[in-house]
Amino acid sequence: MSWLTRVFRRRASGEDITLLRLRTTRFRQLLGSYASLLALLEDAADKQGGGYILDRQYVIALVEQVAELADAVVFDLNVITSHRNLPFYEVADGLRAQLRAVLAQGSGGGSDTVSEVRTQTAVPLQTVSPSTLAAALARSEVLYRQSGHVACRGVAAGPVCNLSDGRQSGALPPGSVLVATDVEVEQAALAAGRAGAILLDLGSAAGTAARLARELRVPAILGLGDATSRLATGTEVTVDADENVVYRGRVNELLDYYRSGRPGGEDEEEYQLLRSVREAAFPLTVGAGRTEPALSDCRTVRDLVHLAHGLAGDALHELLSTERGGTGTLVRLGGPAWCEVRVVHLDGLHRSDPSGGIMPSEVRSRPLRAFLEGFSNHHGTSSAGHHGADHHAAKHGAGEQRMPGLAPCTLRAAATDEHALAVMTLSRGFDMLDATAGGGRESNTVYCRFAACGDGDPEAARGAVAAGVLMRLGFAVSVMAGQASGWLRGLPWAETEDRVRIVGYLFARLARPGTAGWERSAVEPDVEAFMRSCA
Amino acid sequence: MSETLRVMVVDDEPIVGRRLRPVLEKLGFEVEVFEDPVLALARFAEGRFEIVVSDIRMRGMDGIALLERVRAHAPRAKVILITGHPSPEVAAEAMAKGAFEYIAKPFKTDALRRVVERAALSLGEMPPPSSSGSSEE
Repeated sequence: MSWLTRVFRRRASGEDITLLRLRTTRFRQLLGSYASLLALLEDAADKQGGGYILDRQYVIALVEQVAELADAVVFDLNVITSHRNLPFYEVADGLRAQLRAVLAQGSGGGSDTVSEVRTQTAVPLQTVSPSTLAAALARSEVLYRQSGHVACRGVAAGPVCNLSDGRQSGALPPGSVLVATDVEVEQAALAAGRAGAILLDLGSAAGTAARLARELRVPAILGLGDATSRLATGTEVTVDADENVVYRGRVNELLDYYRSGRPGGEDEEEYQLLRSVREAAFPLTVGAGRTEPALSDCRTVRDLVHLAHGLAGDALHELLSTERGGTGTLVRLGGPAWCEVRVVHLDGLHRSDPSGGIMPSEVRSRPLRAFLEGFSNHHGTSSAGHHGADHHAAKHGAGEQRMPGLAPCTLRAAATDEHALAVMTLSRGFDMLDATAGGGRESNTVYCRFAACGDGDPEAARGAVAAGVLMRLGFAVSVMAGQASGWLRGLPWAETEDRVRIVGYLFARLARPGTAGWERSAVEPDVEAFMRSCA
Repeated sequence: MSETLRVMVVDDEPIVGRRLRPVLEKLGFEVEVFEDPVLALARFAEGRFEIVVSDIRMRGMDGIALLERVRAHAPRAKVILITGHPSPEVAAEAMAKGAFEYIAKPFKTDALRRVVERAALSLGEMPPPSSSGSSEE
């Protein structure tokens, strides 16, 4: 190689690193906007429960924030893809106009219903004076005050039916107060229609139980922590989900007060509007089997942002998989070399000799080191008689032989000390991780994406297993066309690092499903088995 | 309480008055709700209100002006301002002009309840009875 060729290659390599750094940074921003959008909509779901006092201005601001974030995602996509997706701007503008139209309709449409409710409640049937009400409440024993999250406003009283006793939700006496740890979809649907109120140990405002409670207008407080251990079946309670309070016994004055003059809960125009905006921007039910929409199919902000993030990920994968992404430093995992791992460190070379490779523990990037530790842990304890790979042998390359019968794969990563982007190319698609160890818990983030199908996996069971595991790990999960994406942020670094390690382990496990292949019916056992193996 | 406290709620968004009324009545307060700040001020002049909860941005009169008029008429009255357009400048102006507290919307009903309880205490009234019954606090 001539000196001129060497100089040219060095310069080209420097430009490639710069390009890679710019694109990975932009991708982080895009993921940050997507995560902010998810957080915003979860917050809106929380407010939909009714525990807050909000006005139209809040809903208007929500629409503008959602549209701004969608614009930011589209902008970042175009930077990442060298402006190959300009039509996304037009669709984003259209969706912003659509959301504003929802607001405009909300100010006119539906007002008849609201005024009807107001008229109905304008003439009290019976009056309870504030002093009588306050005295009655003062006499009552408060079991919970502001201890959970209101999922649906309202007031109800009745005897507790505690499902942790082994009772079935179908046998719930009408009008009783359902108490459970959490409820599955079928249980919630059965129970919510009969329950006078719902109190759960777990659950979130955006969860299934909360949605059903709102749809059926059943007062509900979730996340109480110990309701099942504290409230025995038969205990009479009064649930004031307007104030997030549970009283022991029946507070008749409170029930009479609400019967006589209470306005119409979620029928209020502002709550109707909030619901309409949430449904228009981010539909709650997205089927796992739904196909990835093309741009022309994007009907909601959710569709657009999800498609944009997918295309941006594809572009990053393409960049990292080609020479423009740099060849990087070889990482030796130990055991048989079924996967070649290379890392481009964007802040400079590793201290070790790049040509000889480095161990996962020598990787400078904190998130990538955690990821590779999890990834190589599976490697060292994997099947085919290669348990307990020897560190020394791994370091020096002993045992690095291709395993027969397994499709080889490659894992490429671009990293700085505090950030890692990794893509693993498979025979059918790729898996991706983007993780940041920030200065504070709010800036600790993990994003991962798993290809829908493995070999011999027509039902996309692989993506379903990944989604199941991510949910168990506390990720916000989105499944579209079988492909699973997950977001996590806001945890201390130690907890984030643990999850990154488990995700690394999951990458390795899903890359090598074993001889049994993939079966949709085995998804739940596979998730259980994986979680057990992490323990 | 020696005598029932009276609270005026002023907000041109009807939902605020509808939602705040039960929160305050459960504390034992007499509550009157107004969507028009001019009418509210006229009522304030003829009635006896110890606490006023008012939005800032309203048609007809803004909450800062209402605060000034209320304080001029009844210096002892406690005025709690709420707004959907929070800013440090407006908060500073509100507090400088004698607002008891400044709250950004959306807010939890419990947050307002606690502020009103503090206002009642600062008026020399006993805390309302319903706030002391919690076994969780």
